[in-house]
Amino acid sequence: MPAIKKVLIANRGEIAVRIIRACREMKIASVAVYSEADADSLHVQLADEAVCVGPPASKDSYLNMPNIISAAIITGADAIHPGYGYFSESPSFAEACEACNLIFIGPPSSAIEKMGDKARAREIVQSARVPVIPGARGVIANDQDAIRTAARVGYPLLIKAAAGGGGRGIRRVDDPDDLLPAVRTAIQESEAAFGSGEVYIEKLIENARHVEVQVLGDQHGHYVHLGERECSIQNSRRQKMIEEAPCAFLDAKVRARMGEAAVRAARAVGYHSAGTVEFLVDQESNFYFMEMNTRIQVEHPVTEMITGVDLVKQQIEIAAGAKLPFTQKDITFNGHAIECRITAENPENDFRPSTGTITRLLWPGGPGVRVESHVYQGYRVPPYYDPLLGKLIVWGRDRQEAMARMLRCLSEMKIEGLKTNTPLHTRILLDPAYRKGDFNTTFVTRKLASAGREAA
Amino acid sequence: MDIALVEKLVALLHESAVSEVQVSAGELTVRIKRGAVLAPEEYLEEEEQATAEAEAPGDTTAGEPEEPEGTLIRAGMVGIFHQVDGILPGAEVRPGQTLGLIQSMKLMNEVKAPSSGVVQEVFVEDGSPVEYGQKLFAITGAKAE
Repeated sequence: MPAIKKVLIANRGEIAVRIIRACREMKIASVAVYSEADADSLHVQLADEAVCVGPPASKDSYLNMPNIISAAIITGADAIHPGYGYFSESPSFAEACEACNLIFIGPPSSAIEKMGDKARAREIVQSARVPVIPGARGVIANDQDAIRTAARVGYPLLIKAAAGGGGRGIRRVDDPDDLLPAVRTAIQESEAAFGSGEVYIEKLIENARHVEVQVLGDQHGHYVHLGERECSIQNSRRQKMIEEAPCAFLDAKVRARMGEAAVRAARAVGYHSAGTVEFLVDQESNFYFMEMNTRIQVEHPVTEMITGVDLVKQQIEIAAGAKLPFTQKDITFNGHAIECRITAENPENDFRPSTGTITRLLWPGGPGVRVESHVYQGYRVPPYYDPLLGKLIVWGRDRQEAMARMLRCLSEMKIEGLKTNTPLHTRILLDPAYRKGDFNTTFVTRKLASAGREAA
Repeated sequence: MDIALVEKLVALLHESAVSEVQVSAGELTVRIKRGAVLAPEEYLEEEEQATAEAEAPGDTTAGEPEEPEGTLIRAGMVGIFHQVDGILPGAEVRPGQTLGLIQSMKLMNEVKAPSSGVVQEVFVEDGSPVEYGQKLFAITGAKAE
């Protein structure tokens, strides 16, 4: 089993800090990489070593493959943790690591590649008896194909980019007359955004919930699932804002069936490391595979809070060749966790990013509270990157206690010097429908729209 | 106040150790100051420029001890620095001349002189790792081509 003694973290922000902390506890040396705009960032200060890999623009620094691989080589790192975003789902980066005798802390490049092609992933998991959303078995070949598939699937439907993800490259069609123009626009958009014009058709599951299952697999064919996360609270750009575990809507039977389906999906592509299988769940608790995220996710802490499993440490252990230290029956769920993503975005102004210096910062504390962040008082939020300032995570015995704790934390928290989405989090946590667990992915958009009407 | 008086004052100022003199006669006041005189706006501009330079994102040297004058050549990539024979302080270089090499992902990349001049300082040792933006050389007396 190759020991990992030094890890380079090919990322920035809160996730880089999270990984450095895991390394420190495991007595593994850490190497941060940073752009010129991030010289003052916390990950640079916390890591044992730091290497500047380029100018502020991500494409020249955090996405500069030769510089990042070279940084690992010159510092003598054995492994690279890609975090989320950036190179985390790049098969060519995983291959480059391999070619340079560096361990990629993540799944094999072949699994990233298979799951990265959304249309192909759909076919693979379908043959592993994982339910998929009714739609085309593959990409749309021509107009005739589009018309036939649409008729079979029924309206309303979605046209999705095969190479898309994170809510991008999706078009909704309600009327057959709009189908072909929408397909053409989707192909053009996909070509421009992802370099591939392949699109496919899926039935739109209305009022669906976005529920995802965390899986872990080792390099010896062992898998477990760690339950689900409810991620339906998304902003108008389909970016997640609040995540919870468990999902209040699921019963134990459905949970077990979803978990088993997620493990089958992972096994079907020879997966190892931490991964997430995303499902849409309709009102009758039918669930449909959406996609698999082949990386650690932003919202991984809510799973950690209710299972007690440190997912980042497990990723490192698995990459080093260790066997999973538990089986499915050892995984138990305790209490309820909620995460709020605190972003430098103004919800009053279409979530426009707000940059500036944090003049005052006070994170909440007390029992059951966890903060994952890279910012500090006096920190200047650079305009080049993601607006995530930190994640506020709470644990409670049940959902009621977790909600009360989150509201207490949101009122304790002080971030001054720029606009954040904190007021919107408070409004959601106070909303009667949210509190009852009665919501889906359109919740935030509808709430903002109704607030607009009230104001008018 | 006539011009002759002003001329007299200027001459007086030159001969004495006084650097500034102000004379008032009636409504008119004349102030004569020795040395380079800059309007306040010009002072301001210079200061602003200096601040802007120090804060430029490309400058990672803020806070470091005083730098030698001349053109600084920085690493454009991460890798291992390799010396080139003869590139030592005092060496004259031509534009485009290879000053050193950075080995990155098994490839050697040349670091070239942007202009002619004399190498004043080499900041890194042969075989040492360099990060993006790290100072490699200072070249002075860069001549116009």
